[in-house]
Amino acid sequence: MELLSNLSLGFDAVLTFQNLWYCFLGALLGTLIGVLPGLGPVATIAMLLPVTYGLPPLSALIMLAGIYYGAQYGGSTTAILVNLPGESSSVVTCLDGYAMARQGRAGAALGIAALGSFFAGTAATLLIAAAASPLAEFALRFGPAEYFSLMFLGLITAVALAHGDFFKAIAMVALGLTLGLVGIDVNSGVERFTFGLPELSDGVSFVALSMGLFGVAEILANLELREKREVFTQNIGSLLPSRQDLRAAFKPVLRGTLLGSALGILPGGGAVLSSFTSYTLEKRLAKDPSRFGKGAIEGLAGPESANNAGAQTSFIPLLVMGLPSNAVMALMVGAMMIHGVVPGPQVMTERPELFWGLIASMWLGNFFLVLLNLPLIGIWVRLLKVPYRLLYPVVLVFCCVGVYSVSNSVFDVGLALFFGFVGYLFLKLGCEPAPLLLGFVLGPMMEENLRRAMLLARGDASVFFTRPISCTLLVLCIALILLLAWPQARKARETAFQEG
Amino acid sequence: MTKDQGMTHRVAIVLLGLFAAIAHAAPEAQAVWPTRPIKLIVPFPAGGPTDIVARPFAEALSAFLKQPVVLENRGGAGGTIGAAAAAKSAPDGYTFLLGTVGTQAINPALYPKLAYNPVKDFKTVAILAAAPVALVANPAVPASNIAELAALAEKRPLRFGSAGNGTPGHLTGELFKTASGVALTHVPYRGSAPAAQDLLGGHIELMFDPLQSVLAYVKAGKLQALAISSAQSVAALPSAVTFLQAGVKVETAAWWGIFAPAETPDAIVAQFAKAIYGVRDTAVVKALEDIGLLLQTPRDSRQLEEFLLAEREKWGKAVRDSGAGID
Repeated sequence: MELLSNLSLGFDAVLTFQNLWYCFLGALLGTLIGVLPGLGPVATIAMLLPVTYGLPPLSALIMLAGIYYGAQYGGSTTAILVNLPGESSSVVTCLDGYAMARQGRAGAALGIAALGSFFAGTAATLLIAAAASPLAEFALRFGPAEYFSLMFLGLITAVALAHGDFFKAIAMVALGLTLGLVGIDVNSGVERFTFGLPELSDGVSFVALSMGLFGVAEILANLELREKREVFTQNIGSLLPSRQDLRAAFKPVLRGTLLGSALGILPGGGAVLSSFTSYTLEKRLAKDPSRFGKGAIEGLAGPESANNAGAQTSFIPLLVMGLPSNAVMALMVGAMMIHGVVPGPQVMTERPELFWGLIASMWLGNFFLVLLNLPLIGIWVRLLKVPYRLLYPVVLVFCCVGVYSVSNSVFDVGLALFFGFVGYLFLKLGCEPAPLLLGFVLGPMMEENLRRAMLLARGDASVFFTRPISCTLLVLCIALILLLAWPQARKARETAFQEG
Repeated sequence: MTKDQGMTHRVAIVLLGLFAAIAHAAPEAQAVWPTRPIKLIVPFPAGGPTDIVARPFAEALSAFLKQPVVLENRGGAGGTIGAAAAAKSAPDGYTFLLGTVGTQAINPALYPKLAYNPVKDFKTVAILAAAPVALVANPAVPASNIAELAALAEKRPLRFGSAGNGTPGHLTGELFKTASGVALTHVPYRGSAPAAQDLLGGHIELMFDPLQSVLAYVKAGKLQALAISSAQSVAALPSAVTFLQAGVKVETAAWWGIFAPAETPDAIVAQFAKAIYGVRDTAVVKALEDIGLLLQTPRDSRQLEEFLLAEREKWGKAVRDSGAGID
């Protein structure tokens, strides 16, 4: 019953004309940038952050959250119709979604993607509403030792689930950890790898790094491609999937929702990991795995639900612990601080209308997305006809504006361009930038908490195993490492992504 | 990059034209200040404690001066990036720095190579507000005052968190250790929020932090305030005892002020100072007292200089004694 009264408090807060409008606007913007290749939610949220200063905190957060899950939806549309992942989490959607479109079943594919995402979004919203309170109680028991073990698990998961070459993934994580060392060390106050530049003393700017590696690098790589895109606008077919499609998609949607919800909660989790893992799982469970990559509806329905569920539950660590689990959540922390809300366990008790309002808005946002996506597909597709020679300069300018606006620093814009070239090299070498970014984010937090835990325990390293939560997490880490080292599991992991 | 400069160049030409036109239209522009928006460089990110002081003042001053006072957040390196940028700005009375105890008093001792000189590069306009540093404890710690704390520290190791190395909270903690002889271990965090979270969870026993960041927890009974570092008790928490009252010679405050590039005309500095004292009683600024800040600060220029001199001396010594220097 408490769940219902909390949710009704949330809906009370959200159901004002202004909040509904910002929810709609966020979903719309998110869909738009999801459809546009290259421009992701990180760049968009960074850019729109200053715009939200003048808004009440709840409206601002509702809009930013809407952009985030809107982008998950929009990305699928482009992936299915033109085989271009508008979003990194929709890379797997390309595999079977695009194949379905080529068979003239684009309508069914888009319909399944939208309905699966809506189901996952609804389920994840309910999960957050039901489990957030107990999780907040639990969160205060997390001290430095527990955080260290949690971050460690996040890093291992990032390596385990990254696609492509296993050793490259490890190398990228290591590179991310190294980049994370730059700046003044919190514990000793010593400057590391700053080359005497005051701009580097707070570390490499996260926004500059991510914008360079993803945005700028993507544009550079696309410059090589000739403009020859097949667009399946003529024959989208019926939007409603057949009864048979729905039956085939039902179980993958359920599994994807569960998997996505669980992975979203982990730091280092979120939408990207969820969709890749779900694809692996569906392929392994299928009676005839050879259908995958040739238009298997399970390969579309599972990941699509998983990425949306993961996108949503990744709010749990942020809302109850103040711990950002991915780049977008890190930006949300900044957004909350600007509005005088310190993310952490106290938000739920001190600002219940904000907390439950944000949760209620997630369901509304998902509802708006279904309304938007099904009828507006024709318009999105027309947007894709904008030639790249016009689109890319605009995207590049947006990226630079986004980086500059974070701390009014030209140095950071230069840094983003530098990492753009580095990211281009990574693409050529077949190295995924995602593990690097996770290493960069988790590494410094891990080091900080490791040293703090040691300081608190007066140098006694056994503290990581004598505290029950920390010990459980470390046991999970060891299990995962053993699983990775097990040759058969590694082989399965590699074949799952060969089509990618 | 070159494109960027070209663009700036063109914008600059357009702006120059505009200014020339304005100058012609109003030959006595020098006497009338301000005639265009004033930029206030905040050397910390938006949303932080410094930003929280800056915004109400900017709002009140905009209304008072009838020209927008625009904040530009240029965070990084403990405020040195923003302070250095302000020091190099044109001294035309349209760019000022929102300096802090960090940028104007602590940093010279903390950073061996500082890109600006807090004494020579700036003129002091006014001190806006100050905040006492509070010593707070987790309610489970069996000590409700300094004497009980000192007795407890004899029996078991106690740790205190701070918002980071070289922050007013950390250095006040070091001053407290020296003045009282109580042994405590310092645990630095990345900002106030994570330290407060570990304190609430009981992973550390104590924390030294400016009052406004912990006041909400104290009022909710989730933390207990053992002492505050101001000379007198504060309106926001009248029950709190000062260190001096508890017999420990510690008196510190975190503070925020407005500083002008050194060559800024005296007339403009005086006019801006007058405006600042003029808005002190407006509702938006008064609201800062509710969150634990003190608005009664030194006013005439001689008092101001004495205050700044004493501050630099006090914090400089604290940095050297604690060995907190950054190298």
